[in-house]
Amino acid sequence: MSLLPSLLTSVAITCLVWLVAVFQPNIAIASDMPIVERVNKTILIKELPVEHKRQAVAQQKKSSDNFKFENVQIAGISQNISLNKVPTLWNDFNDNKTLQNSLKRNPSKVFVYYRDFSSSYESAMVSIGYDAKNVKSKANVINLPTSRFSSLLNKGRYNDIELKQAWQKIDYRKRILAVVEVHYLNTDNTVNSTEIFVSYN
Amino acid sequence: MEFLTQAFSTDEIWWLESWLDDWFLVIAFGLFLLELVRYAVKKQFSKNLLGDSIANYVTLVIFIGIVALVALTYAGVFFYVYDTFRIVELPITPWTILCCVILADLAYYWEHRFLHSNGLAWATHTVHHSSPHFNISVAYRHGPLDWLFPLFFHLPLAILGFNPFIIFLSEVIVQLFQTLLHTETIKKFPKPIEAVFNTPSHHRVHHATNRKYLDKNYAGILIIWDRMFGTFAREEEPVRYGVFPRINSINPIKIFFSGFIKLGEQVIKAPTWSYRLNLLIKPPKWAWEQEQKNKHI
Repeated sequence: MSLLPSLLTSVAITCLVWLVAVFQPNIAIASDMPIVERVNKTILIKELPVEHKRQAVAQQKKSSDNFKFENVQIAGISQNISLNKVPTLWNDFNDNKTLQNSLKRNPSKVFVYYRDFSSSYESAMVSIGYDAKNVKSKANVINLPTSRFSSLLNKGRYNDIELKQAWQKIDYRKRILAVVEVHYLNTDNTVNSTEIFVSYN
Repeated sequence: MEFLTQAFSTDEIWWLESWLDDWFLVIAFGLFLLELVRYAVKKQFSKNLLGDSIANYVTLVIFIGIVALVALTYAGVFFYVYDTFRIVELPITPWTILCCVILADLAYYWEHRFLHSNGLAWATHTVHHSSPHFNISVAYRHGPLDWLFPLFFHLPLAILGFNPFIIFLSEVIVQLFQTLLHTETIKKFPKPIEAVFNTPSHHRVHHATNRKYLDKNYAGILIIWDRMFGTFAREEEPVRYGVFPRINSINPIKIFFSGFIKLGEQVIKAPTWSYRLNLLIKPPKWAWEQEQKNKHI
């Protein structure tokens, strides 16, 4: 094959392999959104291998069934919104230049704190923020409740369905005080793992 | 299947790449020592072989020094292009890595072919080909600009949405596979393997100065690229290694800069500006043919 057909063939092969990468199984979409925003839409996060998960469960069972956030303050943004609009709040959080610029160093986790649920559980007061110790500005700092939390989801990587299933594990017969999601970040701000807790009144 | 779509973090990819890079060097050095034993048993061990091999590792040290200086810029270009121009964001899964390795291998084929196609790129790549021996230490015989050209051929992968950490890992995988091909210990693999993969036999052909083997077998991992694009040659006659003119030195500094010194001399002595341009953009064979013509005039 001469040079030009060889180059054209290479371009065709590249497109083909790229399409195979884009449309790989269990990938909802290939997105250009920041990873933090993607947490709620959970496009790319997959489950840890079964053995890892088992270990994580065993580890966490000891510590997180009666978990307490001791003096944890978060700095970020809050809004009373419909729960299906939480992704919009993530957008606002990501676009909040004042907050992002006041970070002392790369954040290691992001908290999402849900409370004051409506009677139908369709809306709540939602706060998204970093650990306040990591933020210079102390405006809009919120204390996480010091009540006892039960683990809904042990620390690990989960897909969209699994995150939704975790919310379904909430005992809605009880009165919910708060739900807290903790998203652990890599050094490049991509999400490494997630855990979810619930506290009842 | 589940494993192929399991997500990894960039930290894990970086760890894997560093681990492969570090430990492979140790393993490759162990293999090299075994090759030295083989040379000794076959009574082929010589002072020149030892000196040449040491020079190869010294060029690696110099090369690592240069890479340390440019690594941040090199990586920065990838991240800038990825952040600014990517058309999608592909997940970090083994599936994506597999696709990226295939495309990085194809990119390697074209980069390698490019290095043989013009005087400027050949000035750095000739260092790798200049050894009269063929063992695993030759894989580490680098030229001063060996780090530069991969950039242009792998950058499109960042635009396609492959995370730069995956691209770097894929480059390393292709390079490590290539490293293992530099040996005379293995003659030929079973036919199906020789048909699909690049093997020591195919790569010996690439390093040959035999006329029928020139500019053949550019592949990294998959020899199918050469078969497809008409640059494949099968190892049939004994291979003579090296380059013309012979370098005849085991001085690592002389070896490391030999390509650019030779090119510099040719450019200075060139009769016209168009000749100078041709020295940079035409295949090294062109310069060799011109010199032969001039000798006969």
